[in-house]
Amino acid sequence: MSRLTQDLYRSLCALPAGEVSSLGACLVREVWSRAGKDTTRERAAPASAGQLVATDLAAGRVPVETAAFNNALRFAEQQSKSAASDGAVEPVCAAAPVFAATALAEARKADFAMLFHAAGLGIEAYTRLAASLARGTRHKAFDGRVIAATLASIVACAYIEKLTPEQAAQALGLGSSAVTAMAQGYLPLQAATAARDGIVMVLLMRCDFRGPPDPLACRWGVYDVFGDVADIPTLEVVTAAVRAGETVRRSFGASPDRPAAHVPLQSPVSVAQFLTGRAG
Amino acid sequence: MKVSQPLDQLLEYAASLTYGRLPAVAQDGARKIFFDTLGVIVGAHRQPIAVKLAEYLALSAEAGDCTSICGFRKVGSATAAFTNGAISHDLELDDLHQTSSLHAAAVMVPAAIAVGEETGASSEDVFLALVRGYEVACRLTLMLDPEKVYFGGFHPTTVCGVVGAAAVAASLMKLDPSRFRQACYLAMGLMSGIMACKTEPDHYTKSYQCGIAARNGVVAAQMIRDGYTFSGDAAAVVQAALQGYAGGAPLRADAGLGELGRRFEIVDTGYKLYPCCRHIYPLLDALATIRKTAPVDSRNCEHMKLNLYARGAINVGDHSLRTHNARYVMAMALEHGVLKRDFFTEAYGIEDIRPVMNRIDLIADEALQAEWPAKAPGVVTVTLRDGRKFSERVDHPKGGVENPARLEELRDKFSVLVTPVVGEARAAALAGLLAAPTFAVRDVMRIAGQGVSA
Repeated sequence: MSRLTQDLYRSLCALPAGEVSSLGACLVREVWSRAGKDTTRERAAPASAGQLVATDLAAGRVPVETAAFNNALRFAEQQSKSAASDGAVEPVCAAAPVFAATALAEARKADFAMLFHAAGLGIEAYTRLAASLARGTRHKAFDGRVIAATLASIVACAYIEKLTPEQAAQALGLGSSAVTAMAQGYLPLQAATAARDGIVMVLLMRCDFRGPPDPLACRWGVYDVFGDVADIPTLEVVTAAVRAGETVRRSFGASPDRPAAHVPLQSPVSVAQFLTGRAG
Repeated sequence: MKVSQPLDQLLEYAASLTYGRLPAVAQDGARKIFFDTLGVIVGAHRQPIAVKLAEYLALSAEAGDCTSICGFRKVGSATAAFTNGAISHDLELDDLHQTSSLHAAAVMVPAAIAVGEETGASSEDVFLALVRGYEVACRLTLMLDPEKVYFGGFHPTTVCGVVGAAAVAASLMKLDPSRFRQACYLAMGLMSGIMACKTEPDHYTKSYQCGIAARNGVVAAQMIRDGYTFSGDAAAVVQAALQGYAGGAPLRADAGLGELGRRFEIVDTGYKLYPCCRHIYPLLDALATIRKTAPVDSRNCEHMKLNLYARGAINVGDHSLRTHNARYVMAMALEHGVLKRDFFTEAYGIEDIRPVMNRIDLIADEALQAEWPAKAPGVVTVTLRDGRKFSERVDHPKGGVENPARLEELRDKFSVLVTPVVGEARAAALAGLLAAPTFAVRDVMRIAGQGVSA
């Protein structure tokens, strides 16, 4: 029985931790420096005891997936506009796992090391999936970046939620079963939906939900339906090199003089403090 | 002619509909759909998926005025649409639009309930919204060709349902025709749903897909309501939908616009009485008829042959998804005499019934296929261990448009589903309210949104 999806998740988790975290730290900082900081301060939405809430830069404290959605949507729209004016490649989809991971890390009170590693894994997943889906999806008028953004958001959140590889595979299965993938869709909305669904999927798995066990390789799965199963081998080569990260690093415009670990990996401040700008 | 012109015509038409000018048959159709689907949603309250969604809502749900039947929580409209949408298809008892193969109600009624509750809608508002949503989603599917969508590996219910849900939500938000159109086009970018759901045995994925389509339709309409503008190229969107979901086939304008204004899609709808894929219905009906003359069960049955029109047999072959596995369904019907939704949950394993399944053969019958879709024929031939043989053919299974469920049967279905959840008195009150000339959605959900002990 094929276990490509589980194997992918395991392989990603086996990547060198330092490099993954370094990449994640770089991207978290880049994305959030572009997105801005929370100006709402203590404005809080009512939440029941035990509910997971996170910071929406415009609305204050909201349910965790709403924070990811709203922040990702605003960011994506900003980036789309700037891309339209200067012609640069916008990191709209690649940022989705960062927004998903940040919201969930904040809600779960995870530390920066956890967030950076999760974001790094998300970007690693994104670059591999987007690259291997690009050819096949283009032929079928789907956008492989949107599919990759959804699955990468799930990977990042699965790491924070400490899902087992089997649970992660089912979360990926559930997510891919309803992934929005149409080319010509409104990309910011698709990217924001990807960020939100990354969180929704792993929370559903926390509640013992089920999904297709091997969505990447199965019949009617991601490659079969949206792309081309012939491209699966390009995904299976998950090596120990964090090579793809460099591409993303460049597309975000992160320069070498801005060290990846600009925010210390073992920062004593919380993610919430970081977002609200009170970390100094 | 631009490729988007037929869809624009459809959307303009749908937006122009008013409740007062709908023919009585369309008004009645919408009422029946709402009644039946609400019963199915409430009836799923104790399903494992509903319990798990309630746990999820306890973790993360925005506060709001809309009722989720999962845990009877008050949440925002998009979340209510998601969770009620996910359970609306879970029992496999929701409606089926005949020609498009859409379980349209599973996506659209949850959207209607959520936004209707949020906006204080009346029954007339909701019925109009549903008629509009059915026109948009079902005719869009016909434009794309449901067979091409399905054989491309997609779930037509959710691929096109999201656009219908956006139409329903936009209607209830009373968006003007221009913004109604924009909401539908924005929702097209959120089309989703692949048949990988058939590789998961317990139906979580297929159910979940309906919830996501309902949610995304509501979100698209909310965004347009809140000031977003769809400024994309409509023709490019339609072309991408054709390329992606219909394998690059040309748009079937005639199929989608046929009898516009004369035929109402909400009327062309069948109701489901067994908790499994409707392609298995003729076989279940045939077995029930045989049982009226012979006491057939899993112990005395030597062999059972199932001849089914080929299109149906493909859909209900040996899939992991047990509601869509004819041999599993028929084996459970033989073993237990009745078919319960519980048979498709984790409480039952396929290997336990495998010895019975091994005595059943499913045949994709090309001769019967020649009669489809005018008929949906299935033949069950049972050979008993004592050598006796019984055979029965059904052409029009119960609940379909050609052999419709009687109103009393739908009332019984509603009562059987709803009473255990909300109690006898509230179930009767709910049925009474839904039969009233007019009602408010909030009043309906005030009754439906409380458990039996409340």
